[in-house]
Amino acid sequence: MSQAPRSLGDKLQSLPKPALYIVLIILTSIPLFAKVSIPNRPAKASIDFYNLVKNLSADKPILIQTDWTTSTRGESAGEFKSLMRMLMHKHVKFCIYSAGDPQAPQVARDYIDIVNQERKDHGDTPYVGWSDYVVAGYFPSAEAISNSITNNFRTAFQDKKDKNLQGTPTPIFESPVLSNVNKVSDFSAMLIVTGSNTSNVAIERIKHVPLAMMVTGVMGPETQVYYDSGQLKGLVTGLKGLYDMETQMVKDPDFSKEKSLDQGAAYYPTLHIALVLMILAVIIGNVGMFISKRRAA
Amino acid sequence: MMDLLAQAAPTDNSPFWSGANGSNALWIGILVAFLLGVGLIFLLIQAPVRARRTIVAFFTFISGGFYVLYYFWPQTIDRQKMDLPRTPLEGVSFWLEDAMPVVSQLTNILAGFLLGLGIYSLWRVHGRKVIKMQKDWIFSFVLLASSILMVVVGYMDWATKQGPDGPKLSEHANWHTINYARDFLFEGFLQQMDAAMFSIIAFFILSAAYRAFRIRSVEATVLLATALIVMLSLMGAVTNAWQGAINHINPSPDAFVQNFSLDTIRSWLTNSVQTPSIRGIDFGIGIGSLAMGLRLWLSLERTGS
Amino acid sequence: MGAQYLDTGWVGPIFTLLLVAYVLFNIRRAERAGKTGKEVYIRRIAGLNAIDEAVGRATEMGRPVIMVPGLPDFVDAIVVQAMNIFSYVSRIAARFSNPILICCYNASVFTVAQEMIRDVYQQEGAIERYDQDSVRFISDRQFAFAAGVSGLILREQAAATFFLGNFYAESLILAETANSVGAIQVASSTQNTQTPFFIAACDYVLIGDEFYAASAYLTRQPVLVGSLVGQDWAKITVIATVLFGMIANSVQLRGTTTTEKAAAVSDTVTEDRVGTFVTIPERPKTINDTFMHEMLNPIPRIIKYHTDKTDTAPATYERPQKPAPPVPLDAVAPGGTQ
Repeated sequence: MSQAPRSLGDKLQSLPKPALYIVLIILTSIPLFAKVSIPNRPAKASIDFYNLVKNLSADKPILIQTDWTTSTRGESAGEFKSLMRMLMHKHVKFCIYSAGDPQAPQVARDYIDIVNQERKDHGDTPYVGWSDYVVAGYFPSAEAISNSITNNFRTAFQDKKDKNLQGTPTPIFESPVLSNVNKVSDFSAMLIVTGSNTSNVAIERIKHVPLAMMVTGVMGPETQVYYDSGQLKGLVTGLKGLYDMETQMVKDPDFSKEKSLDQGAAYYPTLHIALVLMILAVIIGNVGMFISKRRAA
Repeated sequence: MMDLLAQAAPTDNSPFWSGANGSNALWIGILVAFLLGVGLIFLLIQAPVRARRTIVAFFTFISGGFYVLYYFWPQTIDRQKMDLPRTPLEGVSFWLEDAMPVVSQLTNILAGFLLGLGIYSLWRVHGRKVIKMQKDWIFSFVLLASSILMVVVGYMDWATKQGPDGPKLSEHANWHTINYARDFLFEGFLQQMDAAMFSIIAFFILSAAYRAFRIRSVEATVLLATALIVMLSLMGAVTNAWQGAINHINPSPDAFVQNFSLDTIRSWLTNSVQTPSIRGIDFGIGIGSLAMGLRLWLSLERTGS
Repeated sequence: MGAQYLDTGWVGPIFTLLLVAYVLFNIRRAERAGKTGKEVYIRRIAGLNAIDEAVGRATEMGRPVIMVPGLPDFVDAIVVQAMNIFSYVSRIAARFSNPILICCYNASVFTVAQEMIRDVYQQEGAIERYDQDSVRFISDRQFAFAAGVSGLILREQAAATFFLGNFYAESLILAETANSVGAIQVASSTQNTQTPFFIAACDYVLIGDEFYAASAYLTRQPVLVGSLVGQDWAKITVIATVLFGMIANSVQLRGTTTTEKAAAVSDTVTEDRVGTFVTIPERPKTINDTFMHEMLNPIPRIIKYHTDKTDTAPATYERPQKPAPPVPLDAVAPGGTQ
């Protein structure tokens, strides 16, 4: 016995997945060839983060926890580069460490080199490791290091070494970056760039220093609660947050030399296309469902 | 105060619990600890079956009790390297602080040994498939071959960096073939495959949304509506157009119609609906974890039954 | 010493002790009630009711049941809870001679899982049907694990999948792959960010602490049921605190104030007055003036650290010092020769 022909409603409800995926690939590839500029209204959390970084003074260093690696580079790499551009422009020294992934410190170094190359290209002095920044390395236990940082920063980082200007591993407290730092409140801020839940561990344990974060879109809802309660002084969430940072830099005469529009501007149109496609797919599915229901009735 | 578990630096006055690197005292200590461990395992095997549960519960209580004590006991403040505790209370907190890294390392050491068991399991399962050429054996062959290749290349790359020319290898110009091979396998293959797997989520989100967001019930309709609002608010072009339309009606920031801007609606959803829900779920999960941990610590949990 | 808690952190330990008391008290109650044959009511949880249905369907189709206890870094309470549920699933599968596959991310979880599942088969009298390779270590890298498990689901054509525990970005990959082979899926993630993905892709989802209620729901052991009641008492305490705080803040935030607790040293506030009430010009009350804020954010004493090189005041904690280590006999004196 032959099967009854499928109605339009049934067909709309069960579009083949390969077809959806091919359409997604084709449409999201369009921004690779056609550059599109999209207007943007930065979110308040992104504005607060931007202002926090912009108002940092070169007198005091900041502490950066970076826990992202190449798997979340679509968002985190752009966020990190924007942050580096701003800090380097303002000559703010920083100390980097990771509590989430052993690869993270090296990934951070690689992207610092990228931003340094940009600075060389537009005639600015690149940041020098040891004099302008130190990389403290990886700590296996996020809970333990966060507790130690709050209780006694010097003890927490006492065994960490970085290469000095002669290339010799030297205790990081001998570096100009950390020579005047005795406790965590000697930093003007602590910034966390992460794609995992190490942000929650930091929120629970880090005290006595203003805290701000750059997280991926997936971590956004969970981290938003801490910004709303005032525990975070600023929050950049995902690709939208990254684009917020870039659009603010573009409009800021202070950063006219810096490469402001980068990953965020490049990927934001793609995000639009993907979201529009998702909305269309949802609408098509629901239209198909209504047609089927009406036919059945 | 007691030095139990608190490993002092090799030059300190406690030679019993620590030894300088490569010293005879350290090797003797390792041998004695190994023999004691084997003896303990032998005694456990000989123990009557009824007593095993009590023994396991005892060790579980001691292990968990350390962390409970660490949480509740007041922590030291501004401790300097040569400080001695002022009171017995402070002495206990000194000991806890010294012992914590040692106890944490015990977990890492155990995990390291157990990783060997995991790798053995992997090799056994896939090795048998390759040898007997069972169904899909080619995938198992690829797994085994790539793991061997990664170990060999990784080790050789590490070995080149240990020599006197090691520091020069931080410059690409000084790389040998093996360094390029390791870079190709790790940065070129592994990192990119990681990123590719993460990117697959984009496709799956599309198909999941297409399948899941249907107006089947009131709850599903609410879910769909809020998802639509959040998705639209992520699109700068849409928020700008929407805000433009609202400003066309009344551009004053205090106007009532400004409450219907996309950002405002999304903020309300996030702050008044999503945040309390997440908080509530977090409370439940936290309390559940605490209760579960308590049952495990006190051996009240009969696992596997 | 104890001042640390009186200054700052007493709320956390007190609440923890309260929760412990609730749980232990109710375990005792439940054990006594169990002896008299009374049963405590637990509301229906659809995902757990579906376990029997899922395994039965897998048996009919002759396809395996795949279980994943999440991506933990070590064996923690979440993994143990997941394994408890998987023990129950494996017990049913063992009775029906249905093949199972447990995919482990962590080697320590792998060893624990192996022992638990072997015990289950032994208790069911089906030890000869136990396949050592049914519990596997896949990989301890997140996306390698996701790729491995996805491949297994596709090749083995799983009829039922259980994703219970700590899941991160790979949750949707696993759920969609299982959906593509038509498997019934029961899932739960302790990460709030992943629950929406599971809800979109899976048939049944245990949200939040339904995951922790699972073992009590399935086995009805008095200890577990009593613990669940204790957890509910703790949640009621939290709700009461939130409601009290809401009312207290609503009352206290009205009007103005002329005093405030000094939070830091300033032109008018000396170090010894930090944490005490000082007179200020009249201003509207803020959140910092409320009882709840004071309880949850007490102002600590000023502590002078030894490493405060810029501060000339003596350190707060002066302790006796260890004797200096003896100088080795062969040490070189400054300016001298060996």
